[in-house]
Amino acid sequence: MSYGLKKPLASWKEMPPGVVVPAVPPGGKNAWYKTGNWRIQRPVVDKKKCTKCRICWLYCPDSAIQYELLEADLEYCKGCGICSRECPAKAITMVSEMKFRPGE
Amino acid sequence: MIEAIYVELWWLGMSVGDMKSVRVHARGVTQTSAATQLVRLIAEVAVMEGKDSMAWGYYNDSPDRINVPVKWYASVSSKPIVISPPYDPPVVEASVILEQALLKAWTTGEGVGGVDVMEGLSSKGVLAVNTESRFDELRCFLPKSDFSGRVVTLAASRMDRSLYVPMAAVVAHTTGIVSVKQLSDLVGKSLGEDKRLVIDRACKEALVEEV
Amino acid sequence: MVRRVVTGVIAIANAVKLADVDVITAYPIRPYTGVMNELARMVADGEFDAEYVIADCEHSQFEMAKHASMAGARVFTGSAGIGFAYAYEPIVVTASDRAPVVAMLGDRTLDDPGCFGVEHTDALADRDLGWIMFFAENAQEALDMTLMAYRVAEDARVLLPALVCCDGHFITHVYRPIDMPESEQVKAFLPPYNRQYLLDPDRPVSIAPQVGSSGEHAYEFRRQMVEAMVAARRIISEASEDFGKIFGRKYPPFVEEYMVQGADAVLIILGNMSMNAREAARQLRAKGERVGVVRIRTYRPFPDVELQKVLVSAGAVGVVDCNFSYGSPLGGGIVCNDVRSALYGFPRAPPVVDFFAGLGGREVTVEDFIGMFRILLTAARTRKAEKNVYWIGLRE
Repeated sequence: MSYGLKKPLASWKEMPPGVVVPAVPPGGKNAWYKTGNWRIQRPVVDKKKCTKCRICWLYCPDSAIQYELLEADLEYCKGCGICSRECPAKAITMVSEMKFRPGE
Repeated sequence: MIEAIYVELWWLGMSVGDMKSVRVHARGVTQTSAATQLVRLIAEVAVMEGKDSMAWGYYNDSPDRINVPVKWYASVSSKPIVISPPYDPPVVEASVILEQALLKAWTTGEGVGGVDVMEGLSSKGVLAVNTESRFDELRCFLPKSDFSGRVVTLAASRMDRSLYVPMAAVVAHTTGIVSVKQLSDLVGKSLGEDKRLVIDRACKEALVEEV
Repeated sequence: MVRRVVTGVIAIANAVKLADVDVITAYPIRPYTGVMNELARMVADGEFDAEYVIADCEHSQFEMAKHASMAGARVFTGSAGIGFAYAYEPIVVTASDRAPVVAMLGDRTLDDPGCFGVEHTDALADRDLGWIMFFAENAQEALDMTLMAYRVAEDARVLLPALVCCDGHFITHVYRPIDMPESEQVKAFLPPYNRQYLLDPDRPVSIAPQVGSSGEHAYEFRRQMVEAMVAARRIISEASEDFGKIFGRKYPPFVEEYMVQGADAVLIILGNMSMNAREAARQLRAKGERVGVVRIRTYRPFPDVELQKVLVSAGAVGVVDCNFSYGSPLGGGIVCNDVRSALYGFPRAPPVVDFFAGLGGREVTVEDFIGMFRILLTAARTRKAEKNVYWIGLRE
């Protein structure tokens, strides 16, 4: 059951009582707080080297690397670099954010 | 009647008409100290000049998260400040960016964590960026706005490890919110004479461009 | 007099250093943590000599402070919001044991919801226990009130603990220029702490034993506490006079009146919000409306005599409550109900209107205060309040 909250700044009559807010299920994304702008560098995956072992997905502390696509979800990736460090095929490199324009 | 006239004159004298604010954008934990020292320095120099000032950080943030965007403010007024400090002043004379990727921080979206460094920047204000690039390379990162002031770029991280000293010099030099001479005197007395050279170098090397 | 740009917490830490405190007990909670940090830095740098103890929780923190005080040490401690609530047991006992502990409270919203914004309920919920309560407006006043707190609390005729309440963020986290007093001035103002009944093995006393439960002793102890609060009223006035002479800053001891001469509408307020209220009063007076602001500086002992003198001739009285009191009489907040009781019985007492504003740390702007004054001016003209309670700035 999901307590659909239409907007974070709701009126006092719309807010659920007892300081309840909807929680994010495991593997889900928080639509109300996106941490993508914490990034200074972003992971770039070389698909030719990738062996699809999913170790990057396993190690990502934010669940930002998606299981199927094996790319970082840029709305949430904080650029910590753990995926790049752990990849056994050395397929992930961390590239500075300033090399990508908004929307890329 | 006399009381009303007296009050009117006194109120006009105490109005907050000439209070100017500066906003500093920085990264949490790694640059919080630089942002704090920057706004504190501006506030202290203003007091040295006989003005009234206040400096604070955006209280809503929990700044103890690495690389989260944080905001710090300084307000300076030639008359005593008689209102309570706002959390987020709506109009700022200068927006100082201590880490250049913050120019893109608006892309996350409004209301969900996005930070727009151009928000509230008065149309004749100053955008100061700590970067090695020139503004032409940075133009593509900014949101569309009717900003027509000046942009200052300076490689402050290369100039001094405590990057707030050159950035403070640049803010004083371009906005005139405090005087560069007084800033230099205070920094020379409290941080050492070699920082004065950093201030001079910052004022010379900063690239000021009209948008 | 040195002029420095500091936050309220650094100012209070300097006041603690100037007062030459012996024991500091600490436990971090925002927005009080800055005091703890600054005092730790001062003690570590050798700027002054004090026993600095980090407790495992606020309960232990206040217990340690109480015992150190009864052993003859000048003590400083502090907390905020729900941390202060955690320490409720030692807070009750500190007052009835007559241990003159001085605590700084960074006013913070009581959980839940967890929030660092300012609300005064954490201090006001404990108003009945016997602590002297001061509410500061800015960093300078926080420093001065800490020095006053030591003078008043440790006086042998009073011997009650004192609370210096500072708004979270507006006082604790904003850098403002203040005048730092000299240590000679503080030495002239604060006599050393001399307690008659110390915890001393050479002259053994038993403090606060269990007493007879058929009412043999406790009743007389309660009467003594009331007498101590009555004495505190006198000592606060005397100490304010001395303070003005020694430091050059003259504060009215109980309430600060602003433009109340001939006022039709008067707002009563606590803490930092009063700055915006005064700006609103100035703007309205310039337009010819007769409005005034009264700021309560000392909340316990309650300034009923001073408030009666100012308010009985007002047209309407509004009380700004940055606190909550669920299920209270007439739905009023804590300060409103206290003010209403102080005005009860006067034949031409003005209508009293309650305004809830600023809860959770929400900003109360000058426009909000102008709106409140307009409601009061209407009530003054019609000689009656349309509603008892208004919620300013609520999202309906």
